[in-house]
Amino acid sequence: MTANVAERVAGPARRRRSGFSLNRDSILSPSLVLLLPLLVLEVAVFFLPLIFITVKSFYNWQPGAVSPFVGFSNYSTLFGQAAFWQVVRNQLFYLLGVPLWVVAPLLIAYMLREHVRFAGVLRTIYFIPAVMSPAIVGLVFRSLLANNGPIDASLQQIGLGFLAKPWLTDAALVKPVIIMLVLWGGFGTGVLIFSAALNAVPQDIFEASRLDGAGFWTELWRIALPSIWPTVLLWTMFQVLSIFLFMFSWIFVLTNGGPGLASTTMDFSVYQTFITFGFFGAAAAQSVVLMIMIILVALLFVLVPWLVRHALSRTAGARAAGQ
Amino acid sequence: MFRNIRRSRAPLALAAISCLALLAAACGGSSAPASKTGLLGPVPKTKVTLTVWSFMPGEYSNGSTAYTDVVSAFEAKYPQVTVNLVNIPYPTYFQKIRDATIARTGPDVITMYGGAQAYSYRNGLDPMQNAMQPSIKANLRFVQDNYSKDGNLYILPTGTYGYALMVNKSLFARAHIDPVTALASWPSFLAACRQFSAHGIQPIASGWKDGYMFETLMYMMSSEMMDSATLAKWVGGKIPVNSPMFVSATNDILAMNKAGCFGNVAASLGRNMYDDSFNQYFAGKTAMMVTGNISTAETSFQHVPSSAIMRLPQVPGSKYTNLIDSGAETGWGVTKWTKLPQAADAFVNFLAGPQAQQIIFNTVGVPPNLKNLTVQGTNAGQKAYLPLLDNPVNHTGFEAFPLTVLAVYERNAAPLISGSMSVSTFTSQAQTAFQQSQ
Repeated sequence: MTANVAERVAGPARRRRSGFSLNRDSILSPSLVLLLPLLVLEVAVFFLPLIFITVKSFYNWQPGAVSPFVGFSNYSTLFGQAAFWQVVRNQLFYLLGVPLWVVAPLLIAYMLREHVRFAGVLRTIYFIPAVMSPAIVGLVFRSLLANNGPIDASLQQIGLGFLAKPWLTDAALVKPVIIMLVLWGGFGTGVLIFSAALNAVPQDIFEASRLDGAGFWTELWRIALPSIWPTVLLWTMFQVLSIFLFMFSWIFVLTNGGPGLASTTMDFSVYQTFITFGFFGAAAAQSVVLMIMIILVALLFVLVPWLVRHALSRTAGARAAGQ
Repeated sequence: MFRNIRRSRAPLALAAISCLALLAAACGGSSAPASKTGLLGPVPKTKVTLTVWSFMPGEYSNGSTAYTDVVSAFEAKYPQVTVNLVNIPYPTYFQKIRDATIARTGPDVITMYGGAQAYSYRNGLDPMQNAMQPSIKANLRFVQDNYSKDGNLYILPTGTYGYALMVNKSLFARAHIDPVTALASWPSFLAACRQFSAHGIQPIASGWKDGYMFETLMYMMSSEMMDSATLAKWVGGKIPVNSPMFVSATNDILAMNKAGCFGNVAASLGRNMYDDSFNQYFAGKTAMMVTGNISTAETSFQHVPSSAIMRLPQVPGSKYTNLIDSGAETGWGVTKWTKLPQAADAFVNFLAGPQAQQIIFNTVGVPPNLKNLTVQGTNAGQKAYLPLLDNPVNHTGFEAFPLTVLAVYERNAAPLISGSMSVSTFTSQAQTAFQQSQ
């Protein structure tokens, strides 16, 4: 009897803490049953290929032929290649674009927030690149930025020839140029998302702060940013993950990974290894490494805010106890 | 209804079993299909449709007509076979072949380069060395160059290309250079480059961005340095790309660069060989251009009427006096998954035979690679080119360059030429790629 009471008391608390119960009824609840097809689909199109590729990364995989088990050989070969580390360095370099990809649309969205004429039209204009395929945008910019192409020719025409550069063929320039192009392509979506988040912040907070004498930057830093922080974090995470997942079309169309390996990303490298060279096992190993990198980055985005919150609450608790 | 579902574990169990079954199917070992070992006999009389994938019809302005005529001729010979020739643009062609090879389904016959490229697709191609009809076997040229390192011939080579130099005689005259003397030896060739530069004329049309210019020169020079025994070893994958022969060819290209043969290097780094450098020559801005086929030569004659075609001088390490890098224009293979092996073999043999090659020459001007078929040039390009190709010592090592090595050449050509990459780093990266391909 005592045990039952204790269980009844502790049970809900345990459930609340874990947020999940292994109760059989809740496993087979109607909502979960409805989710089952999606779950099966997810397993079939995502987890199974993932397991499949992971298994194949330990083989000298030859589709349609004998594929001998090679253990970690594909991985050791990969890590022993200078080309692989160059690609990893490229990937890290593209991370430098993230602050720009976050701050620029955030600032524009903030500035468009109030009393700007034709704000809707401007948002639409900013959004246009987002509805265009990166492949098409890439093709357009490949022509525009070609050596002696229209941009260089225009610079020459207006007496700024010294600014004409081999934008896509100079190893030092190509990555910054791609960062700017990705900014151009994703800018509108960022503006739209931040605008929506800012619109959800009650206006009277801004008005009250203005009465207290807050200026543009104070409002942005003290009110707007903390109010939409989860959106900023989410957008930042998308941008970081996009470097690992969605750069392929830009690279494929703009530079084909060149000059040399200067602009090659991991996803493009996997494609080359698999499709161009036919090293299926090596490409599988590379895919697994890419997947691990993505998981680590995603975990970082979950863990760091959690740790920060945890540390802040402990500090606040300590202060309260001190008082 | 939900109550029933809730009480049943069937959906979960079913999902789990399905997943495991899928996984087992996906990870299950696959065995190599048996390859044919000889001629498969006559084409059965049953009506069938043969699917052929190729990029060749799209390679020439009237290529579609040429290959339609070839197909018609084949269908006339084998009325029970209908050929469905699918033209796939070159930029996406090899990806589609790769997809088909992995999926084990697709065309019965494909266009494919021989040697290393065919080896890369070996899981989808049936060896052809024993499937050649006797008359083809006796007369087909460049067969040895197209073997893969595993000792199999995965394609039958067809057509002929040959790398040579288009020469703008007017610009030679303007720089007071006699083309015959200038291209007689390697030192005189480099001297001519210097003389052109002194006259403000770019000697050779060049573009390094796509890396093909480097590759092309590498083929031309290394082929000169390969005698028959060396070529056989190279085709067999026994010679590494850091061997003296390839290092020497790399240095020869850099020597050309040092002599000013490629003009303003900074400008050429952002140009492709195809078609940027061609356009330089067509515009009359350069004294020479590297080209590999008659149709480009013919276009050159139209743009620069004072053109001539000459050999690249033999490099210092050459084993010959008058060789040009020359080989099969393309090749054709039979897929392992075809259900019509006899018809597929018959079509590939037909493509390699005199009737098809004559049609191709007449329509698009690609010379045949058959000893028993001689063709006469009818235009300036053909008349100038055919004598260079008609040289029994011509061969190529091009087919044996592994794709990984070519990728390294392509991406490192510009850094090498611009001086930002040393020969040793260049060679070492190529060698790493070579080892990866072994």
